[in-house]
Amino acid sequence: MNKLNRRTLMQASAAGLTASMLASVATGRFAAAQETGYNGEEVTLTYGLWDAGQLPGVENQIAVFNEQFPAIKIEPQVVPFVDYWPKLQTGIAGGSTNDVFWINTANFPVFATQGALLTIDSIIGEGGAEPDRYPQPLVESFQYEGAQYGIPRDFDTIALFYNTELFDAAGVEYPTGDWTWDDLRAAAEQLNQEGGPWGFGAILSGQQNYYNFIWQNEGKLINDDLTESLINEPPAAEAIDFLSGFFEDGLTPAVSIMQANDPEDTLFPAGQIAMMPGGSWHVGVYKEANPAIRVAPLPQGKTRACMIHGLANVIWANTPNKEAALEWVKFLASEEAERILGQTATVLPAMEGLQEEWVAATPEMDLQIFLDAIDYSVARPSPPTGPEWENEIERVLIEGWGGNIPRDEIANQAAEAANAALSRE
Amino acid sequence: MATAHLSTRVRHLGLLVRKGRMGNEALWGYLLIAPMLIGFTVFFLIALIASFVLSFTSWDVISTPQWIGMDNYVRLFRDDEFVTALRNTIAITVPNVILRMIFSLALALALNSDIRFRSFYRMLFFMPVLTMPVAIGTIWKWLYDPAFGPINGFLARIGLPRPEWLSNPNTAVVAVIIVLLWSGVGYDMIIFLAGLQAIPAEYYEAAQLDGASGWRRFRDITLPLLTPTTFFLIIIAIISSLQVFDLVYVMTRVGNANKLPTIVYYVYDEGFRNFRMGYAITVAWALLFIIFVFTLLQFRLQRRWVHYG
Repeated sequence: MNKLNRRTLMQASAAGLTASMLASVATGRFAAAQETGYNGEEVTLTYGLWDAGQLPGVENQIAVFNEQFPAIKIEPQVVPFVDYWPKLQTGIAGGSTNDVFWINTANFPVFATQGALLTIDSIIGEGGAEPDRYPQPLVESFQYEGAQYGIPRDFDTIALFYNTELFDAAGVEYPTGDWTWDDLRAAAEQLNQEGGPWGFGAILSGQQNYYNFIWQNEGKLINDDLTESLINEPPAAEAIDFLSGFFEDGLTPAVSIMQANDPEDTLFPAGQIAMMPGGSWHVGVYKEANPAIRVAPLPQGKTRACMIHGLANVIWANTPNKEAALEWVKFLASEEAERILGQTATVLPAMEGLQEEWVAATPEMDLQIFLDAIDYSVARPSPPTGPEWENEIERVLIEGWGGNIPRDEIANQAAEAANAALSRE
Repeated sequence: MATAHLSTRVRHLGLLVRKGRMGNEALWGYLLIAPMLIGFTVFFLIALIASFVLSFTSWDVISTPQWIGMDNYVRLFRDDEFVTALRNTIAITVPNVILRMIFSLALALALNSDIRFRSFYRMLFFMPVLTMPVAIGTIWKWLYDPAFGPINGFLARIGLPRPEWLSNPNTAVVAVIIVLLWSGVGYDMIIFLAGLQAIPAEYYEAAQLDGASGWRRFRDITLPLLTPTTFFLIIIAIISSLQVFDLVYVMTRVGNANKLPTIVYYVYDEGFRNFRMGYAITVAWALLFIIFVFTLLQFRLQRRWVHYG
């Protein structure tokens, strides 16, 4: 298991700092690092992203960037996550796509191996993008064949959001950091009402839901060679079965209801779900949407675990405006830009030392929980074949939780489907 | 003067052609169809040939395609997901085509008679045809919402069970067919109306004089004389049903899964989400072949039941 510990993370980045300083002294590779060659001409860059909830923060970044570079116009283009990757890939194939765009760790290998991304080595160094100020495992997940393609923008961990109004109405104690799976289940039963509000939101997402439970039960998604899924082995299968129970007993909105009404954007903020696991990126939207929403750590199984995931800004290899794009990416990697992310309370900025501002920006929720979660966080393995194996797991779980696969067969079928995807070209 | 001049020119041109010099007239002809011809060549002919060649490759859209011979076609015959998609597509197509013919003919007959507000009703039934399929899908998805949607709200009020609609493949087929009918009958109705109005009134008068009942007039005059229209509409309906995509894309998708993948959805999924464009193209060719066979069959069968004039 790819465990990240906050202390080792700091140590690693300190070590990384020394190492890269030595490297730059030794090779002079990053001399004149901040030069992009941008000559001040008027250009328009498109900036692809998938979360409309983060637009306010992005627009603040653009405003500050334009004070320095008034001639570079940035156009954010939001495409919902499920359609984001197809659109990007076809755009790249067709020779026209966003100049700069978000990429996550799961999809990075797909694009990097195709040569679709521009290396940003030329802007790395003092006064430019400084990878040493970021968690090292995240920095490394945006490297390919020795070159750096992106600087982490933000990262996220998972916690349990809950609705205090629904807890108060049912007379149930709020979740605490000591909760176990049994506590979660018992509270869900007490909070649940047939036809809603439901006790628990077993959202159809690995990152926010079932991966965490699998890891908490000391299960694995995939073997170390990234060639075979292990989610049918007992620890993982037990976790899936635990979640199947919520569907079978009606403690979570049925698959059909979640299909029609997105639980994270609709049902939970509208007070139709009492508690639901969610990512740190939800904080900004939830605090606007419903003042009764609070956050607690995920309950623990045999161990504590939650997924850590990051995304970076990358440049399309064939952009006609390489120089301006490098300027924009360099700015996005700066402390100033990262600080805006923290202050607008949208997402956790990836730069070390800025997370406290993000925590402070929302005093009503105990956001320190998301930072403490780094200690027991797990990164999702990213096989070079891309995220299809995960989509296959999701497809089978949706079938199973929708009642179309016998409960004890779900994990086996999910592993079979994932393996078929992993073995395909 | 100008006319005289022109006619000399024309005669002159005619002479040139007759003399066998370059067919100037032919040249003009080619020039005039050139825009269409170039468009057809670039966007259809070349694309068609390229796609056929690409169906023998493994291609992730960005890297260079790798020649893999018949592998894609071999996979097609062993692919359970393709079979599922094919089964779903046929499950949508057969009832949709049959019901669409019945409903649109019934509507056309009703709106061909002398009723009040005839044009208003015609317009009403035609309106969905003018609406974007994605908008239609979005609205109907909301109507079908199992917990909060008006359809299940109504069913609950009159004490009927509330189906899950779009999440269960069996009810999803019904749900999608209902939307296809709702949005499709208007078009067929208009074509049927035109067909009905082309039937000479004398035939009916003659039949009436001979004492034929309303049903016999319908069976022996209206139906046979509508067969060319029906034939056309059936072919169009089959082809469009086999190509259903937008509705299932909007309505039956949950996250990364789809409860009712059709063939075209499968092409999209393989090509644009899993980036196996070579295989996606192979599936598309399989669909083309299926449509071709269906249409060929229809043209064979038409001799038995279609009456012209």
